[in-house]
Amino acid sequence: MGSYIIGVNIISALFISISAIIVFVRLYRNRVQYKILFGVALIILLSGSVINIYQHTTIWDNAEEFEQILSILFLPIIIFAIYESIIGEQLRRRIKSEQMFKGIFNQTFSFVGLLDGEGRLLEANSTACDFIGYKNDEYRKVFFPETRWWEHSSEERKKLTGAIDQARQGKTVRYETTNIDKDGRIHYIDLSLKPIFDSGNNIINLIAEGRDFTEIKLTRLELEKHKKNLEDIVDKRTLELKTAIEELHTKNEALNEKNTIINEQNAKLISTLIDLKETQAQLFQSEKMASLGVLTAGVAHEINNPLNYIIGAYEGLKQKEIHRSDEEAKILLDAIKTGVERVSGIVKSLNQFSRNTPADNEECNIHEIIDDSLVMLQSQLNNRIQIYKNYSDESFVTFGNVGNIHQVFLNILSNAEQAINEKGKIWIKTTKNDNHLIIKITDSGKGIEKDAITKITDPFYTTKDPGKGTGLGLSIVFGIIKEHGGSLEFESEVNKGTTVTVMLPKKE
Amino acid sequence: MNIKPKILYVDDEELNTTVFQLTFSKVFEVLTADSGVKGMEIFNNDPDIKFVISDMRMPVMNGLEFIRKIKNRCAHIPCSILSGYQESPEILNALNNGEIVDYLMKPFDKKAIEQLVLKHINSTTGN
Repeated sequence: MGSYIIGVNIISALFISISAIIVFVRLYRNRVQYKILFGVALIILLSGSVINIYQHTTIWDNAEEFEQILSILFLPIIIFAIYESIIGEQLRRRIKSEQMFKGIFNQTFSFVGLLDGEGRLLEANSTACDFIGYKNDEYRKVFFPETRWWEHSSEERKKLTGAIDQARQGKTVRYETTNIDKDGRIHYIDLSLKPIFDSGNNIINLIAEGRDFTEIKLTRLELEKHKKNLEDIVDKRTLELKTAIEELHTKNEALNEKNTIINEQNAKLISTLIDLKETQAQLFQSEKMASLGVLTAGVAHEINNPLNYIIGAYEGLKQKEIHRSDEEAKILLDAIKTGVERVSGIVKSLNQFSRNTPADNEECNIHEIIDDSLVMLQSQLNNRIQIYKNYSDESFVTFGNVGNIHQVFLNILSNAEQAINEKGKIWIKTTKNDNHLIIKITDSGKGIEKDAITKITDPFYTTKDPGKGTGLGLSIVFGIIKEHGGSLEFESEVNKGTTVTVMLPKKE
Repeated sequence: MNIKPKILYVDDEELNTTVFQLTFSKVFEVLTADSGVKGMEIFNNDPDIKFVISDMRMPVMNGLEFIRKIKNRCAHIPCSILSGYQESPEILNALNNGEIVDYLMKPFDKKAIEQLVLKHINSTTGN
């Protein structure tokens, strides 16, 4: 009976143990398995102790057997718990970490490769392999530059070989290169090579890392293109602006020049206006002379013809015997002759106005001509008038008609002489400017009234006593000087004297 | 010298020719005409004419035109103009060309004309 009860107890204890194991297994899966195992071991140990108590208290006779079973069970559980707690945990962690690193290695966006010390490829991550289409370990132990990533360009292969050499010397190399993908497209890659040293400082591996920055590169290229475009546009605009400024500058200069020209022309216009007024005055005088010339030419001819036969008749009568002894007839005949000669003289003077001789080109030495005139006037000058000559040292020559120029100076000097009543002086001074000979003849005579000075070159104007002058002298002088391209001026003060200034063109 | 030299004087004013003829009657035999045309007629009919004097301004033919016709006929005959006008470029030209030997102004100078004519007649007859 007793053994039956024990059997029942064992079975129930077995069920309880199985249930406990199930519970523990479930707990075990919750990661703290070695602590549970330790717990189980402790419970078993505790149970053994309880059973031992029962044995000694004789409540349970067969307790010793259970105690032995429990001690046999305890040993493997405690060993397993110890193992689990020390090694198993560590192993699981390492596997986990390896998986994690493998994941990082393969799933990163960068291309990562591990090279041996000689530059041969040992590992490549799946990003890199997928890029080119490598499967399995096709690439293993292949010299890195000879892998398919570089098969598009010998130049890039050469650059990589150089970079590997540098990395093998312990340097970290980084540069921009290109890779080809499995579809044949070129990608821009930022490649770096880094050496890995062992504890003895020897290079055991090289890490190759490539970052695809094609998009950035393209964007950058695009950006550069735009920048270049922009620069071109700016340059073009700047140039246009510069050209426009230059044009403006040129126009401004042209405008300034035109302004200067206008100013110059304005000045010229003013001086022309002044000249014009002078010319007008001279023209007025010349016109007066010219009309008088036309008139006198006709008048002279009409007078000369009757004079011709009057003088002829006089000559004829003189030859007649009957008048030879008649004194009265002689006086009357002489009167005819004197009258004819006087009229003829006036007509000859008048003819000076109608002169139409071609341009005379004789050399006129003014100093000689003045001296000649003084000789001719010698009888009138006598000891009454002193002559002071102040002649220019240079040659003093104009072109013209020698006879006419004689007439000019003879007339002016004769007027000077006649202006001096008793004793007096005449000064003759000759000078030159750029284009003209200037002759000043000054007398210490009675002078000319202001009102008269504008009229003295008018024909028939005279202040001399009747019979002493015709009033034609100075108007003839004026005509001759005009014909020679010169000018005539008078300055006078009553009772002090008169200065006549003659200007004649210099012979070139 | 008992034969007076024959000269021709042409002037459109009759008083001039008449007085001229009378004045010089003792020295020259003066033939006169009142126009160039008549002067030409007289000249053509009388080869003894030794000197020609003509007025300048006359109707139809002026003095120089008349003298040129005379010169066409007889190139070496000395001629002169006696005029009331001052010398003109045309006259000066004729003087330079030798068409006329001198230019005389009215009123005439008896002695000057006598000297001129005698000088030229003697030089031509002397040749």
